[in-house]
Amino acid sequence: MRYDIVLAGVGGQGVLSMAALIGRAAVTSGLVAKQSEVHGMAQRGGAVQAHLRLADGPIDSDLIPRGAADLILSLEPVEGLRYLPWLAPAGSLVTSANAFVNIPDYPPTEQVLARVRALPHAIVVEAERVAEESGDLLAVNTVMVGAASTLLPLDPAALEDAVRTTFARKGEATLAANLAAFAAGRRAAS
Amino acid sequence: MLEDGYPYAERLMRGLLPGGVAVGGRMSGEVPATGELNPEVVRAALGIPARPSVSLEGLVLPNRPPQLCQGCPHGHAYTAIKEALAGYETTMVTADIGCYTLGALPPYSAIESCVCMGASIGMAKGAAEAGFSPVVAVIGDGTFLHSGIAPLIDAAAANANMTVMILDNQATAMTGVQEPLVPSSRLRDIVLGAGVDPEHLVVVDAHPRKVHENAVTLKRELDHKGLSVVIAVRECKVAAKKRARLQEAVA
Repeated sequence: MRYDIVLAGVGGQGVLSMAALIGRAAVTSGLVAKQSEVHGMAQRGGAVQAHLRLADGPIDSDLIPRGAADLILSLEPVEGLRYLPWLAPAGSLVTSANAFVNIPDYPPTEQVLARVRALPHAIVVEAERVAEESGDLLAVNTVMVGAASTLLPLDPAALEDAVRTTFARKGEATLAANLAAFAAGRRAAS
Repeated sequence: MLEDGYPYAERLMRGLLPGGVAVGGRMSGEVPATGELNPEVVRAALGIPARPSVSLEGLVLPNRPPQLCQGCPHGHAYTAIKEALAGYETTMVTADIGCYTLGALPPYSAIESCVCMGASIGMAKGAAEAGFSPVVAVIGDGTFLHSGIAPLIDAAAANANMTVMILDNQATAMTGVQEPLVPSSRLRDIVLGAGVDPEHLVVVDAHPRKVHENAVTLKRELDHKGLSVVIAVRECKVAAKKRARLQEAVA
């Protein structure tokens, strides 16, 4: 088994947190995980991406070749489209519908979303609304991990455990909101 | 030879192997001379065709370069520098490495060099000697303490016709908001200790409402024939937030 994920978003949105959640769940499930990332631009509003590779045996390279990703998981629609050359023809794009507009030449959001929806395998989630309804607007990335859980080769319970382990030290309210966000994200994508 | 970085082993192999053994790599062009090794580069070097992928055809996406935070004091300092320099012809603005290097990008486009830590001051001295005027060297407090003091001593000894602008945001912000080595209040003493004329050392507040006032101050120092230092003080927004969180956690 091999499953390659490109994670994308804007610096500060929580791209690496999503990678950490999925990676933790994979390792506790007995899989091998390898991750490489572009960071340092967090809080600076630049494009951020991470490659996360899961397998049941050794993984040679931490980089995903173009055309090989099973999934692009994105916190922002333009950032999701940016990595299409990495997506295998049968792969899926799972993205938040919410545009992050911090550049003057951002294309019309409807046009961007139409392009996403025209892909053979795409899931678009109103992640901000779902996060807010779950009790924490900051849980957008947990919503998106929930959405991706419908496709990932992982038991949703393992992902939920990863959410629990990650957020337990952040207080009860944050933990509850993130568990709710995970479940709601999963429902929204189903 | 598939080798990251400089073709070190490849060069040695070329000298070592007998003439009949063909060696391919960065030096002979099978691998691009610059850039990291990634799966696409290696596939092409080995003659393996690219995999099919989902098409981006007809899709032009905007770039999303990193930028200064909303309300970052460096932005206010750059607006003041641009205002002060307007109207001069032979200007030069050298800079250094930190968040403030992002001032090279729009909307500021305010700085013209970034080489290595501390280079701004030495390069500004060279530009001043070459006849540029006015010349501004922009350097953050972290970089200044790291390696800006030695070239400042040099510039002070020569009384170079330039202005050093120290952007003192009281943090080494780009690498994760580490605390400065010395508090802001001591920067002044360090600058004076380097031999800078106290008459031409000015400390200003990089407040958004003081942009014009600071531009006027800066212009006065630009017109001074000799070395001047302007320290623009205002705490990094991210550092301030981090400090507030820590205080909240302690309380």
